[in-house]
Amino acid sequence: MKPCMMRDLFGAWNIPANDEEYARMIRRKTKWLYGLLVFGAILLTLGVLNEYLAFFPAADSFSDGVYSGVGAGFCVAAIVFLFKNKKLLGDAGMLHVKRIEEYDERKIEITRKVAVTTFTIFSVILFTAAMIAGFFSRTVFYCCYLGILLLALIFIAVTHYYNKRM
Amino acid sequence: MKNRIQELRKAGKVTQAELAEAVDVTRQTIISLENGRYNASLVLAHKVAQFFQLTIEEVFIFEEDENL
Repeated sequence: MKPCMMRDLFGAWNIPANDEEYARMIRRKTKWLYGLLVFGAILLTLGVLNEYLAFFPAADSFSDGVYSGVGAGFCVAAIVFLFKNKKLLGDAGMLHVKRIEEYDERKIEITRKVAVTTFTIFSVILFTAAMIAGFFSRTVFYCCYLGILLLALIFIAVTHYYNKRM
Repeated sequence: MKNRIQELRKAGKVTQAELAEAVDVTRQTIISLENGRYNASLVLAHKVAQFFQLTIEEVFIFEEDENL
């Protein structure tokens, strides 16, 4: 993976020092939005086409609906953010206000605490769900179990990443 | 951590919005700092102290038994 992709994926706490740097960050994010738009359009097309042509028989009408819905959602989100970013980049005053709002240190601290609390609560809920699901459905149990394992692995990987960086 | 932000701000006739703009934070952060609900980072403490042309120790009062 290219270093810039890593930076965009794990750079949630990278704080722009000034408006110019923030504008560069928005331009970089805009490139990802074009990718999201294309990905959404592909999902939407596949879902709609499969509903009528059934070139992938394993996917039933429900799956077609899910894929086309998710695709449409990605497209709408990408378009909304593309317009928002274009507006921001064209207005220096608005860009400054947005940077202060988005990277206010108290807000970042709140987000960190929210992330940790959410992670803890979600882990407990997932563990409880796995224990209860074990009585009724093996599939649901394994889904929850895999979720717990994934969470733990991601936690270890991200901790390792930040340990190396800080 | 206690601080003298409100006192210094009022003495200098500076509004919360003006201070917030000068140190690159929202007005809500200044309110939280003044109320003692939020402790400033070292960078923000430095910016605030610089704004009032004082040292960090003159603006922020660190108490020995404080925990982060």
